[in-house]
Amino acid sequence: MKKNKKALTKITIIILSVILLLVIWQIASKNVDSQILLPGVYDVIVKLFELFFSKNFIYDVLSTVIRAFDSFVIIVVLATILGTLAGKYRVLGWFITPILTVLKTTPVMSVILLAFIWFETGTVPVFSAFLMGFPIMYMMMEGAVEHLEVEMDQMCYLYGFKKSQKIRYYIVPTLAKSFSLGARQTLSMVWKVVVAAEVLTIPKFGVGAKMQFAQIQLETSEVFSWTLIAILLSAIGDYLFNIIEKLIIKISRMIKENKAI
Amino acid sequence: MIIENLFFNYKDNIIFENFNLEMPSQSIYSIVGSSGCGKTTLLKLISDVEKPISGKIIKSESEIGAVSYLFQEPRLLRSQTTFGNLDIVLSNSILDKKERRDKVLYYLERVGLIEHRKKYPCELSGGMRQRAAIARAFAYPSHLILMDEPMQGLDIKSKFDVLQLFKEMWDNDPRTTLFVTHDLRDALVMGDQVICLGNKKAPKLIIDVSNEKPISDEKLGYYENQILRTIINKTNDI
Repeated sequence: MKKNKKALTKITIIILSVILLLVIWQIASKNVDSQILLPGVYDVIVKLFELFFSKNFIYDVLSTVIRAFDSFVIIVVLATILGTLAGKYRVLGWFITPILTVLKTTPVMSVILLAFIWFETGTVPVFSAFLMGFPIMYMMMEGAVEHLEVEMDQMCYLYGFKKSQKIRYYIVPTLAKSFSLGARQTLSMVWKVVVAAEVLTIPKFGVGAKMQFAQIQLETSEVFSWTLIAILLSAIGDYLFNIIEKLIIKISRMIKENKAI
Repeated sequence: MIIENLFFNYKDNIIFENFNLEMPSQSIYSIVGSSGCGKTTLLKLISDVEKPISGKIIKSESEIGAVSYLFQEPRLLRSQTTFGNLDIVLSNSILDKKERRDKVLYYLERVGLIEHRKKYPCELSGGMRQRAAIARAFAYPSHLILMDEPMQGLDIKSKFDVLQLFKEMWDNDPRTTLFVTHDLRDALVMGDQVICLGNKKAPKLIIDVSNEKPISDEKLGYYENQILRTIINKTNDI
């Protein structure tokens, strides 16, 4: 009951916050009084619906989603493996440090422009997002492994845990939190970089490409609409991530609790 | 267990230098002494977590093999239920699931956690977590129990309950036990012998109270004083 009330309060506050944002936007638009500079909420929503039913909408969205997904999967797999190994074997960590520093400090635009010279348009967003997202996931996993407790290690040793048991019951659950946090941050970064790279490289299909076309034609309401779509995609990604995470936790808890019946 | 000419150091800090000690099996030995005198190190050496530079630790036949260790903190697996924490340490020795389950439930019953078997460590109180750790230590098929200040951080009531519980379980299933503590009263009440460390070569004092159980308040005060003086002398030496 108390939990439901808290959830309801949370939703109410979020809705109020969104309404406030929309009101500010509408007032600002009225004051500016220029569709090119700042279109109104209504115009953007109408444009949004037009886009939903336009011919290539699904191709544009799917292209961006696939690029983001490809990049996300590559980052998560590679950074998890390398980060975990680097956390365990310091030599590897030291070896990767300079590469990581370069990746962390290079401006996103430089990466995209260079990638544009080297690769074809469709590959640039995936490559750029990989370079920008990789350090986040890598550092999260490396840090998590470095902070594994020596005390728990001793416990596993003294109570005769096999290596597989130690990994399954101690290491994986301990790293899971950092993995989830890293993956979440990576996903958010990947969306931004993929769309930015599409804006610069203008592939045939893609949310960013359409944003760029709209901007050239001074269709500000369309730029806003595509931006909303990009935000929506990121939110849906986050939401799906949450659902999957909760489902995994729920199933694993159910298995453990059933064992204790 | 016989400790013979044990030598161990952490860099420049020599902890044991030709240290010798004999501890007959199936008794409780309380280890006391000032901080840094080597109490925890002794447990680590006995449990093989640390290796001696030289010297030997000769265990009797009944002490060879697995060791149950009660740490300062319970060190339970956070991702596992109370049941799971016990089940895992038994999984390599008892392959039959039903038999293992019965044993886990038996020990959880003994420590009063049967109702909390589905709970995770974070859902238990400090005292309950330590009780779960005791259940794990006894459930684990070991011949030696090493306790490194396991009551630290518990309130008086929980501490009393945990000590009481440990004693009950130990009487039922006696194994050679080394109990490191800073509380001299606990050391005297729990131990058959109280070993006061502080010299690198041998214990500074060994008090045998095995024939004086239950120990009277008067004796308790007397021994407490004696141990305290021994420990303070060490401080004075510094």
